[in-house]
Amino acid sequence: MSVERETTMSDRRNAFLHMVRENTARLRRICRAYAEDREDEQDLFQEILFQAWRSLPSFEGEARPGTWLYRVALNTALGRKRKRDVRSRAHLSEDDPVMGSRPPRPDRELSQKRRVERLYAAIDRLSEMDRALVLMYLDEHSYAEMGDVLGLSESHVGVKLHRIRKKLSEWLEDES
Amino acid sequence: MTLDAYRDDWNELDPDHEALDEERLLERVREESDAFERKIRRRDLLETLAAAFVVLAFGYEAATSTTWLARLGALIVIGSSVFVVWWLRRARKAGPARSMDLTVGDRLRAERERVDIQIHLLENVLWWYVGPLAVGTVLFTLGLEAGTAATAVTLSVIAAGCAFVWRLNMRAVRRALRPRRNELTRLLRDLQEEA
Repeated sequence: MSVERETTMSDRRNAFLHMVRENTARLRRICRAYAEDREDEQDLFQEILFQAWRSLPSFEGEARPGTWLYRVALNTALGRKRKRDVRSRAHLSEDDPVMGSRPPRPDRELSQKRRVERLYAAIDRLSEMDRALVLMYLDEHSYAEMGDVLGLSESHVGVKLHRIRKKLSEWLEDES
Repeated sequence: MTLDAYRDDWNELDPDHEALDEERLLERVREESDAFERKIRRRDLLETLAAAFVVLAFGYEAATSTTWLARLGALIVIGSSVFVVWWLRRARKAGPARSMDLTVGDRLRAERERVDIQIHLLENVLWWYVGPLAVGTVLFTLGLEAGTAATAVTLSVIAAGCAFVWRLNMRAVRRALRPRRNELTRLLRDLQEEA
């Protein structure tokens, strides 16, 4: 392997790890919102990282790394159902060392956790596209970034988001 | 409680606490990436080997057959096999980009375009795959020995094989590709609708 190629691989590795480190929480939320169960969530997380690794050479910095990764993640999540049978993948169990272990939550977080669970339940009722928009809204993306990820104008994002927020608020009020 | 308040909880309850073993993660991703590349290479190799086998087997027949009909049949089979491999690779390369980092809208449109190409390929499988191979094998069989019971059996097997391949492709269009196209259209409509 040449020195130049080694450097390229090392750059790719560092860029990839940095991007994943910065966006793990967002990726996990996407997985949570689109996966069918816990095991599916881990598989989707792995699939997104695989697609990001493969797509990284085409990343030219025209978008923020987080926005770029969001595109890859959403495209993977939306396309996964259609591609499930095409490629056989190794399953990642919750015990796999890659996933690490989460420290137990203190009690004060429990009610907050319940509210977030309720929010996820409401998000589950939305269509796949509305889910994508609301995830970006909750992750505090700007309208321009949302438009950049989905391929919509800012005004279009605004109109759609207004409708979705209204719907979500009603559902959450009904449940509380 | 407003949605904005829920958003605060959402962001405060950061799932980021889960530690990632970065080295293991990289190893996994690379393994999977390598496995994917190997799978693509294996598929291309198998296609090439299958075509090479047909070319060699029928090439030998074309060179040694005593009748012009058998020779013509063998040459058609050889030409068809090479054409099929070329056609499949061309179809895979043609069409829109496969990148996963397109906008969601562009990605859905690109995928739908690729599904349309696949549907077109399978719906016309009779003309670019089944037909030429069938014509070649029929001529080859008739050239070897026409009018015997064995010939009739061989021709029946060829006809049944062709019908089977054609039905299999039509089934794939009906059961997999059309529903996939409808799903992509639904997602695009969902994305584009304003209210």
